[in-house]
Amino acid sequence: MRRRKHGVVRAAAALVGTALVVGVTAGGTSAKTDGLTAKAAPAVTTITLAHWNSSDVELKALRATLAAFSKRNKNIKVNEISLDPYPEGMLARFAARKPPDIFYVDSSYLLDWASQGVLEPIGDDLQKAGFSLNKFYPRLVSAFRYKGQLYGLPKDWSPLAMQVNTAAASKAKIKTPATWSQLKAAGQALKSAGQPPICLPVELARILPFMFQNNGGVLDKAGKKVIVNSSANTNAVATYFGWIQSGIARTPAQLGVGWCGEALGKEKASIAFEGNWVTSFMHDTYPNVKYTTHAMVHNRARGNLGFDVSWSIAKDSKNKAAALTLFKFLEGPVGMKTWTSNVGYLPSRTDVTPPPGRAPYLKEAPYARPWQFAPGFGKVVDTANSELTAAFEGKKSINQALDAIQSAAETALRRGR
Amino acid sequence: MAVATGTKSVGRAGRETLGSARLREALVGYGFVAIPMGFFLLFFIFPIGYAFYISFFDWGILGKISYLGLQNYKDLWHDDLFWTWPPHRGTAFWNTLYYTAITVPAQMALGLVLALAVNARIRGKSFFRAAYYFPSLTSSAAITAVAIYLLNSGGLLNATLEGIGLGGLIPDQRAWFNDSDTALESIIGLNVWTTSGTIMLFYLATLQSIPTDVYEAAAIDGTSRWRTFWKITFPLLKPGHFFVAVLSVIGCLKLFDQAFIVSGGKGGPAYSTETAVLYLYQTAITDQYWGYAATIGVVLFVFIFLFTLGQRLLFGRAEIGY
Repeated sequence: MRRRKHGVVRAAAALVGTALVVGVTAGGTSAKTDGLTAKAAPAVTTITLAHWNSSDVELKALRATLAAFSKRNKNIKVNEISLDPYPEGMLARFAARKPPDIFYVDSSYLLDWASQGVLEPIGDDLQKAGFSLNKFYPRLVSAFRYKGQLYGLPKDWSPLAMQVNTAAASKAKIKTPATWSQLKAAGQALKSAGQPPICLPVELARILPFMFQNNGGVLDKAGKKVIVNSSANTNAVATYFGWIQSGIARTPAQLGVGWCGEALGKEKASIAFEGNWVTSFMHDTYPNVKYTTHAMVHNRARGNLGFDVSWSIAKDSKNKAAALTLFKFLEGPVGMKTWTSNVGYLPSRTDVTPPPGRAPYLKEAPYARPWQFAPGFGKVVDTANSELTAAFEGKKSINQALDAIQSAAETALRRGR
Repeated sequence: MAVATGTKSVGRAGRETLGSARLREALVGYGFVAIPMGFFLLFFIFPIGYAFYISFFDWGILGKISYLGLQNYKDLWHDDLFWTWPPHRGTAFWNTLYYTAITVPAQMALGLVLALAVNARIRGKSFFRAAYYFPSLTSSAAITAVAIYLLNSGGLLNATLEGIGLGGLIPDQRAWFNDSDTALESIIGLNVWTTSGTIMLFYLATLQSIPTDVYEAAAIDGTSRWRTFWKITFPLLKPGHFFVAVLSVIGCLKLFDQAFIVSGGKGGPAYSTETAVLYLYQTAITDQYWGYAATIGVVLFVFIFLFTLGQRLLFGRAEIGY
């Protein structure tokens, strides 16, 4: 009986051992064979490109752009991977020192990543390669500079604009509002005519343009001082909340939708303030809803936000030269034209014709400030959203909320990252 | 496992064989346990130790930035987003305690009621047992996603409330998860419902271990149903109470997924769904302060440990005699 037991143990050990040996050898052999194949053919560099995926249209457009690149560069193979959630996926790869070579970086966290040293400064490389930055909108490029170095170039961009439902506008007989008082009048006319209201979310990314329009903001021009708790901001926020509380505007939650674009599509809102992404969204999801796009309203000043995303290269990338070649294509006139015409986004280069029907967005370019503050401000934005919601629900005064945001912003500036 | 060794050989040789056979058996046992134990040590114990280590540093994406000593702990002590004194809803720590204080008794009560109902002699007992347990099997993420739709501005709950004339209960923001007055409470309701099935099973096991002669004696004495429950069943369930309470409290103090899904990872309308673990996650991912996040983890660990220890000391060992 002892012998049989021992036999079983020995057999199990032998099986495990064999499995290990076979596995390791197979892995080793495959690595060796790949190397051999690579040596036989002309040197093909494989680079990894990481992105997030908001829609099928975007994925198709990206693949079309990469196909156009592959035709012109047969010795660089691009492996594209989609990460969801994006920042978490990228952080894990940065920490493991095995990042993708080229990837998206949203302007809101570019400064954090640049300050932590995971992005490659490409300004000098682009200069050496003769790649000119002259054709880019300078305001957009400034969002990707940190401490004098350039860490990426915008691949496209979008400001906010005003979308108005045609049917509701004609039934309420409203003219296109251009100022705050005209917006309020239009809202009241819509309400009296029983039409859907304006859609206004309670979040910093939508309230900030209104703060700019009142000469307020979060940081001063130099980006060194926090100016959140100014009276200009208090008045802007009070006006914005006033529109919602008086009933001429509603938040997406109150309308039962996730965002104002959806409200526009479901005709639960007559006026919305969204970016160019709403154009393809409406075209694909709610093609029968007629609406027009107009310039953002203004008050004492014109103010808008420019949301942009860059292509950037990883500091720990092992194929920087190949990645830079792809970068130059994607940010060059041919690559950007392929991308923007397929996906319907606005080019960040002036020498690329934008897709048709987007003129109102382009006209916002001079007034669009980057959606970005300083390193470590991700937390400040979240604090701002929570404080503004608390003030909106009446749990605290607007001044108290702005004071809390002010101190959070000052702490972040002091901490430096 | 029968060990038929050492019966044949007697004497020195026999005793040696006996000892080395036991040794071999032990080695086989350790060999089988080695791999899972290795995973456990590598993916569970090591990260805990490493988290303790990281909490003394300013740790960024690429690793160590600088040594901070106890500075992270001092910062956490003064962090108004984590806790304030006096206690105040809207801070991570007090939100979590508030959630625990309401959810645990509610879960235990509902679980006990279900267990008593299912333990009674009724038809379809197994069906009800399975039906009440079913919500515990489903993924919390899926349930939360569906709940967001049900508790939406134009969702089923609002429609029902308005239909039966209770429209006054609907929050100002209409969507229950988007109003800071009802967001956390909605999560409480959701979790009490989903976890009650598991608790029902624990109580059922304890209920069925109570000997029936106790009930027979009570019946002979002519006690009412309520007295039987309150004076006999309830105290005899003490091992169940303790076990369920400890597990519930630990689970509630670690609330993360519903808070994350409902608020999009941001801590919900006006900090109402900011829980301790969600705050830890935000500190690590949004701010990349891994050292500070590790500090929060360590503090939470110590708190849960002390809490469980306290429960154990207060309520004693869960052993009773009949």
